[in-house]
Amino acid sequence: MNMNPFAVQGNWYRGNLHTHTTNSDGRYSPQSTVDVYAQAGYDFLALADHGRLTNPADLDHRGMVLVPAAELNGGRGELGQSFHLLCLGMRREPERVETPSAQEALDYARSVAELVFVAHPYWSSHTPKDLMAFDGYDGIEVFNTTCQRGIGRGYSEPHWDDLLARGRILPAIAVDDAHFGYWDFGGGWIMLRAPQLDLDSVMAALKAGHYYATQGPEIKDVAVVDGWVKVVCSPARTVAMVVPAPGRGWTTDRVRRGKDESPMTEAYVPLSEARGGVFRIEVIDEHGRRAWTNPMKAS
Amino acid sequence: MLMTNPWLASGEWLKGALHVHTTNSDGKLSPQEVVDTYRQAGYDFVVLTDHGRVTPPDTVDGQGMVVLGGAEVGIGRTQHGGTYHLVAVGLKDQLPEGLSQATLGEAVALLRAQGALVYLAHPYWSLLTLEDLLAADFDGLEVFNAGCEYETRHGDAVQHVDWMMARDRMPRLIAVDDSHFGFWDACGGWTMVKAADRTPEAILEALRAGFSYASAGPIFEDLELCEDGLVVRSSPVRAVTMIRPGAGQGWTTDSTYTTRPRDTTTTEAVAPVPMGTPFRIEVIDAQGRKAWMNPMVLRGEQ
Repeated sequence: MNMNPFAVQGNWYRGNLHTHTTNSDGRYSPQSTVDVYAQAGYDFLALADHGRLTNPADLDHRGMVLVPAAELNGGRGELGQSFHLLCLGMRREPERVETPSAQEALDYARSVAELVFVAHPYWSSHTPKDLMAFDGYDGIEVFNTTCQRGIGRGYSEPHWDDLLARGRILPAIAVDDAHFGYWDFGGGWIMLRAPQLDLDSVMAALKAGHYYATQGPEIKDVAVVDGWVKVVCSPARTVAMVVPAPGRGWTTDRVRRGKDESPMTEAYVPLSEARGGVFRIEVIDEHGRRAWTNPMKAS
Repeated sequence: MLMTNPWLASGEWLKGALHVHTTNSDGKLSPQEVVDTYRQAGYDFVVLTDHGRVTPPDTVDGQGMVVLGGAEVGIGRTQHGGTYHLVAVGLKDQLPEGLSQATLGEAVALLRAQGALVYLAHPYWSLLTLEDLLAADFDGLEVFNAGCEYETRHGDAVQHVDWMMARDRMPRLIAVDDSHFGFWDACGGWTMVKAADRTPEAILEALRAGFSYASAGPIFEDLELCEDGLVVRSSPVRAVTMIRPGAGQGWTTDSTYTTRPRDTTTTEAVAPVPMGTPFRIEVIDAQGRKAWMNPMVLRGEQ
């Protein structure tokens, strides 16, 4: 699967795929939650309440696409925590089913939703073994705002790179998982590339991995030019080629650190560092905010 | 009382580089040039940790800075097919006999028998799994390796620390730069040690006791258990976090902001008292640079 939004035509749409309302443990009603995101200029939103579908048909979409979603639990990791599965494109209200194993939980989730992501691996204390113990999920959350602002455990890059190193070439999303108990809004989203803004186009682009995840930085282009990967972005402190192999990778710090460290809007990273395998690009701004592309093949 | 609170120990704070390379292995500067560079950068001590060999401290002139011997040793096989990199801090003049034929556990024992502390280098760069981290009795690990961060973005290993804490391990945390000086890879991460004296023995004792913290920028000023909670004082930071290993557990100052995002810094925070379970304190400044205290556990009567 070519998860490269920069290689396809379309427009950029901003969306948050994980939110809670008073239908589970969020503080705002479904309509109020929609209003907050619409007023902030988001293009699409998934209300993913625990164990139930908050039906978009009952709401005024305020011009956004509302992706029917839910967050389902099941199974147990080796350090004790259940798996939270972010289910997108829900086809119906989920039933209460017993799912003692992660695989059973995932199989059920896939029977009621079009896409299933493993939510907040770091917050859940998941280990690489946990994520390898079941198969068939469509990706993970590499960043989750409420998990970071709640307990400092929002980033899951090590989990992602371990999966990529084991040949599970999966995309990753950044989300708010907003509950609004404290200010957990607007910390992470995805920029989706789609021909138009409607539910079918959003779901198709999500399935194709035509997006990048971000906490703020904008990635405008990633393209291979003469053995280099050219990255065009909003002003950045560091551009990195992250390679999921022990000891490999490359960042602009190698050539810029201690020299001209003014923000850059363009960088060239050597394709050879990926050694013909998979890589992903990260952009970091002066405040340490990150953006992550999905994995791409170097060949 | 807190078991390993450096602010309850006497001594002075010394800034150290615990993982550096010289021309004795794959570094670009000679041992003397490395020592001079760190002294000029304001460090109080440096540990020379070349690959596979010890540079005896008495072969360089510290000119007031304390120099310790050490080495970086590659051994064993990790789950992703690499070798474990061990940073041994506190070797006098050479590596112990039999190291090259030793298993991982034997190597750690041999190094410790010589009086060294043994840290796991760059767990994220090495893509270590929980099984790898539990494979031997390490004294601690590099929670941050600046050189690895600059080269590969795999320098911050907090998730690895927290997997270990969830299994009741309390590794000491060091931050290093792993400098080779091929580019300016020095001074991005360091370890602060509260040592009774400016001597190698006192520094090793403080590291062993956990009277230290790791940093890529922020300074911790104090840690104090009060009636209201655990008070953390530091240089200005955007967030103060108490990490606890259980799923969904922990606390940060961010969660005290109910209606607006945090865009200010603080120099003092009061965390809830973490009775009985292991925890660690972490801060992050406005540029995204972090500092990390060692895992601790609060035992007994307050």
